[in-house]
Amino acid sequence: MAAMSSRFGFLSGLVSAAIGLLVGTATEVIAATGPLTNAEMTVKIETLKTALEGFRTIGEIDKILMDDKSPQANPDVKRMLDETDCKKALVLPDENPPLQAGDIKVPIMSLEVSGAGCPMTYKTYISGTQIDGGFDGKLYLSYKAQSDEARALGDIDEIVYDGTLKASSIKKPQGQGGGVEFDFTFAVTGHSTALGNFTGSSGFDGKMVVNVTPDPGGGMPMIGMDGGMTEKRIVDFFEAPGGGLKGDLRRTMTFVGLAPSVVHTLDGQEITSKQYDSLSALMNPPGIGKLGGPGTSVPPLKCGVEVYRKGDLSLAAAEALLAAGSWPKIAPLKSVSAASDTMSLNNGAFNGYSYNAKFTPDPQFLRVDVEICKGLACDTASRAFLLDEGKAYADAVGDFTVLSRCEMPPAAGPVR
Amino acid sequence: MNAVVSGVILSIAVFAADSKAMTVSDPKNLMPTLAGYFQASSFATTMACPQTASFEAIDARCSLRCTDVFCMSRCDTARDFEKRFDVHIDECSDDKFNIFSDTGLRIEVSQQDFVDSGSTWLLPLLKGFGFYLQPDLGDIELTGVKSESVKLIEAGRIRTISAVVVDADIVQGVGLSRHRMWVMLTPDLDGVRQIVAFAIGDKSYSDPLYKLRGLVLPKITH
Repeated sequence: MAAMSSRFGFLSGLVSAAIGLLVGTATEVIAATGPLTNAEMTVKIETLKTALEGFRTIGEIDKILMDDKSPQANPDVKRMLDETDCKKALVLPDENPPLQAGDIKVPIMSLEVSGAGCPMTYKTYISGTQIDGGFDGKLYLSYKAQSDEARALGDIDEIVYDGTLKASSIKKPQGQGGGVEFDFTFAVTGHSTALGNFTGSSGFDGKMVVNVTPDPGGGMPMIGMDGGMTEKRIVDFFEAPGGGLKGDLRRTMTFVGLAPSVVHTLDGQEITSKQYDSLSALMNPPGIGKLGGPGTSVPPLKCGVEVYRKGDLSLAAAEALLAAGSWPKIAPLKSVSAASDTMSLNNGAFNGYSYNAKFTPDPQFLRVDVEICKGLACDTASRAFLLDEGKAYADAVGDFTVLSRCEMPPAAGPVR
Repeated sequence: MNAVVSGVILSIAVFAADSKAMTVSDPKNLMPTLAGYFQASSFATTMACPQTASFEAIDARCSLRCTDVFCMSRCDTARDFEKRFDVHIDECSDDKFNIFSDTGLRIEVSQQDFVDSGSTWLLPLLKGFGFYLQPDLGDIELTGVKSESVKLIEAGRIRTISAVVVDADIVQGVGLSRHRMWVMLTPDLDGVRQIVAFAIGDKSYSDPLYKLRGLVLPKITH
């Protein structure tokens, strides 16, 4: 059951992602097109947000068909699906091996509920073929409410997704890295009780490649990335009250080395990442929305790790300094820094030791992992930082004392 | 149907000084399920007095409006002083205590409330939930209880704690349409930190009105 849930989770996430892109775009379109006051905009956004909650019905159907004992299943949906007029045809993910490209796995499955007297019709499938180093697949989903009771489940009474799922792994010589290239795009059509007919498309494509360059001297290899990804969100509620809502939001991420370069556009016009984030954050869509980490709306922290020889700075001495709000006056053996919103890998060597410092951003916190190794023997420390608060910590890592800290950026001056 | 017929309609009380009371109903009789996650413990031990913990919020309060077809909610983003705040247990006696937040929430919890809530302060919170709503009237109907794991960051360390999520609907007017809400509790923490988060809306995307500092809410829960 655990394996099945996991695979279902992917499907749910995939569909939610497509839904989410649609929902997110709708919000941003409103923000961009109409000469609306903030209050009007908020009301319109809430209208859409509520209307699009009807999408959740689709998730409920999946959940029930995949696991009809799910305690989270909506009992109304379950009862309707169990009516004798509903015919079910299911091919569950366990019955076929998944499509796979690198770490990306997509289950093969199909679920169908039909019948003239059934309160709803529903069909979804993921199909495809495994090709050399990847797969070529298709995602399809259709839903139609056929009874008044089904229509009352949510505002969306009819919707069709038709999508392409393609991925292929990028192979490099042994020990030199590798990556994956992907293209997931979806076309959506449907009908909203509140807003009328709509069409849209969404998706993301790109490639991510990790390059590992061995050190000829036998030291730590250099690690870099190239490639990038573009998310596209396009929607057109062409029968919406007031003349429709339409827009095109894109985020393009390009990797050079380890630092991603990101460009955001709305209807072809470049916008700031903050504008993009604030537009997206107006409505947290099912599945992919942020869950409100306060750090998502504050500037990134300046973070760093410093390594000291234990004999120069003991853990107790370091903790005493930090408790007093001070910082060591002596020079560290190693020092690395990163911003809290940027994935960063740092590695190197000193005095016969090798070290790795990894900064992993999450929407709600930053994780900092430090590893110091002598040969194959490694010691580690891990800390997590909230994104709206400066903190510093000391850890004993083998023969060393490691200080990690994040600081709030300087307050911005008044805007003139 | 039996569950509905035998459902427990919980008593009404006014607790929040500035808001009218909500009624709380449990037609599916979910409170025993919730209580099963919390070890029965004494009022005094679990709710040590006084105590303080730090919380934060994305939204401050929500306006609700329903038509026969669907409901709309509009939530105001928390102002600076509402984004990070302390919550205190204070003014305690042998059979009751008060929970105050720096943002103005006040909830009185009696020993009987604590027992009725399965050794938690859930029901008093829900009865006082009008503090977060406009209009501040209606019925909160419990719809589900489920458990999951969440991460908590304390002193720079990440640990996993058990969480129990209570889903509920806010019903106003004739009740043809409903707002969803959720409350997350944990049996791993005591006192004011026993309720770690809540929000109006669906858990997968709603911004919390109240969240324990350091709690990492899951992104996808459906």
